[in-house]
Amino acid sequence: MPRSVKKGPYIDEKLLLKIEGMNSRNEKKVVRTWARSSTIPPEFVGHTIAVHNGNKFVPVYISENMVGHKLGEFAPTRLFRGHGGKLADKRSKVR
Amino acid sequence: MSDPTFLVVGEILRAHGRRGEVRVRSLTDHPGPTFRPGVTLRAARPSEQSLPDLFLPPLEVTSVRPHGDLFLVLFDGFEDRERADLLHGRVLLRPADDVPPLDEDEFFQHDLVGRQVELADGAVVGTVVDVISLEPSDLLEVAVEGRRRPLLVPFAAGIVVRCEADESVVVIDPPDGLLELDADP
Repeated sequence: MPRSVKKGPYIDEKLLLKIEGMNSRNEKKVVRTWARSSTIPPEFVGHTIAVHNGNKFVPVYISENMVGHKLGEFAPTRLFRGHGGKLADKRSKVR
Repeated sequence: MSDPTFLVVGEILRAHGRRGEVRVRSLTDHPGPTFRPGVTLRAARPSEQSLPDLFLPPLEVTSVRPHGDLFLVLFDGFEDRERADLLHGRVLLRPADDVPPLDEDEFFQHDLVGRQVELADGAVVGTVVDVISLEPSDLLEVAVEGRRRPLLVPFAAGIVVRCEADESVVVIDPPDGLLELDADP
């Protein structure tokens, strides 16, 4: 069953306070968190949040299209290194 | 950095059925234009990914169908299981000129590996040893001298300041704390 709409999205309070504090000071600093289930509000955009994946902290740069998703979606607990090759046709884009 | 002549686009796992189809795992970000009838690929040994196997002819795709995460591919001249078994374990190559061109600000991952990561003031951070594919932005795994665990750097516009195709450096402007993240205790 989905979360009740009247409650609004779940956002980790401590994390939100830290980010809002940084926004008011116009500061950018990596914040470590274990709150994988926290929803990403618009205030997080432009910050880098280190989300724990059970083993280490995965730095996640928050962009606009991540708003509304959960932090844990961007820090997978199983990192698949992939098959194949040194010369595979795999690409990365600066977004 | 020299451009490779061929790029690896897939890996042949094993034959499927008796008609000569083989299971292929895609290793390309563009499987649509790669695995379609009429495309000619080359097979190579996994240990020699830049050189096609000269004992095997060019492989023209005659039919393709999806099979879970894999593709079932039939190549011209390999229409029975015995012939298809010859391809088992090979990787599939496509001429680099035939793969879809790179977008703006897009790089081949093998082209990023080995680049030096620097700060805007020229201070060296380390060397890219791997690229981890994630959505929406990939992670650069950077080996840093004197640090056991590699440093992870998001390959994102807010952090990567400069990354050019003709250079061998990636210039980053990391937020405070990123370079110390997960450092050895």
